[in-house]
Amino acid sequence: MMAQILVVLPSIHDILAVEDRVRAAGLWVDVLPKPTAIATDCGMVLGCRSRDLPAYLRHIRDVGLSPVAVYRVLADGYARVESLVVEPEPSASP
Amino acid sequence: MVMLYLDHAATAQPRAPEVASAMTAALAAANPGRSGHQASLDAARIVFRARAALAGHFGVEDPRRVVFTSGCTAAINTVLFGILRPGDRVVTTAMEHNAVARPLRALEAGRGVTVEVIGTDAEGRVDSEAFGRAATGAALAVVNHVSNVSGTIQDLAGLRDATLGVPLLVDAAQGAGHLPFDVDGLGIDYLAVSGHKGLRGPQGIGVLVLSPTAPLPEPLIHGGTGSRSEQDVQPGFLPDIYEAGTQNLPGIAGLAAALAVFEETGYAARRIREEEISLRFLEGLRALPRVRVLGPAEPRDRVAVFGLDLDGLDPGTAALRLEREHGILGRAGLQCAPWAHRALGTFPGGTLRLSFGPENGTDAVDAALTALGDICR
Repeated sequence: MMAQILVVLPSIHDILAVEDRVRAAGLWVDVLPKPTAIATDCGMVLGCRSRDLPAYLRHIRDVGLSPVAVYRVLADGYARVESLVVEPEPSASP
Repeated sequence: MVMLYLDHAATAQPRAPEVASAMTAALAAANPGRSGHQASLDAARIVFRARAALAGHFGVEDPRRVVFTSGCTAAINTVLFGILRPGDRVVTTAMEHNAVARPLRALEAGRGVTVEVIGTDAEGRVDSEAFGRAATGAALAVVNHVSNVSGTIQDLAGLRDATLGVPLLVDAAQGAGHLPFDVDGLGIDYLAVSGHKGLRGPQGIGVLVLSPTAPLPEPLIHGGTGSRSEQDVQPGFLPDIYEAGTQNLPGIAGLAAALAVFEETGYAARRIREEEISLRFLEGLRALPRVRVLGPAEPRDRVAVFGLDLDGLDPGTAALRLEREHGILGRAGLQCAPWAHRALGTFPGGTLRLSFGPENGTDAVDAALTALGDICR
């Protein structure tokens, strides 16, 4: 699977902290070298599926972080995602 | 002659085989987090998991506040040189090791920092109230948690309560691995830890733990971190701000392995055993009239580090005789802590120091007592 979204975080520690959490939550994740076209960062990015982005953002928030930037992967480059919607906490009851 | 190692306050021996295995494996690893390939990521995960394990061990919620250093001395220097500014006043204790004393004297001479040293009682304990009064308005308070000279344990909770509002640096070189820490719970701002003593990891690795509210020291070392590479200034976020240059991956891996082994037993059982060893040794020493023991008479108030004043017998000679005639390895002299020896009345000659580790049992205590009885006749 190819990443549809790239999430930029400050440090490799942060990348790995979020990677652990999203893997534990059963979400697909990839840790990739940062493409030169996108924002400043630790040299690595988290790759995820578009549909998982709100859940990712919640996990990132839960470890006390904010993304440096989020990009959508396009056929010919990257588009910065300006509006980031965090998924609400999963409900304990159905 | 079988050698008996009683120099655990200097460095732990033997280390668990897992430590060497982890270090050897790390030698085959890539540069942690510096490159995009899987080998680099795998190395970064070693660092990440070690940091998380240490955070849990020291009661720190956010692992980013655990910074790897080359040792406890480097951690202490990071805080002292990174926080203290010209005209500042710092309050510390008479029990400090040269890891604190020397940088403070250098800051006194070089930056005009005022250093106020608070004395102790006869067993090396600092009065919390007196320390707190002196610390009022200070830029920093610095406390040696456990003395490498006398084994004296300071009342950290009392000292913290007495110095509220003043950033507190704790030198835990001798305390870590002997007594549990709850950095967040106690409100310790900076905890400096050695990897190779009580935690029984390798030499050349240590940790600086920072509280969530601690002022961030100016970094002493600037350079590559793998982050914000387009900028020619040091990143301002933890842990990268203090980890310029390639990390000591074998050291970090070895420390993590040592910690995993340590936590199989935990503090409670170790502490009970340490107090039993201390009690037996202290009782045996009472039968040797020429030996004065530094530090607390009660095992609960000390760790199993014993400074022995041998009634005129030169400590170096005593150490040599213990080694050559009895196969016992201790340490003579000032143990890099002249302030503490001044406080306890053993400067400049120093003491013979015997320090027990978790592998030492009652047989080691009895062998040491027999040997001391022989050389002190």
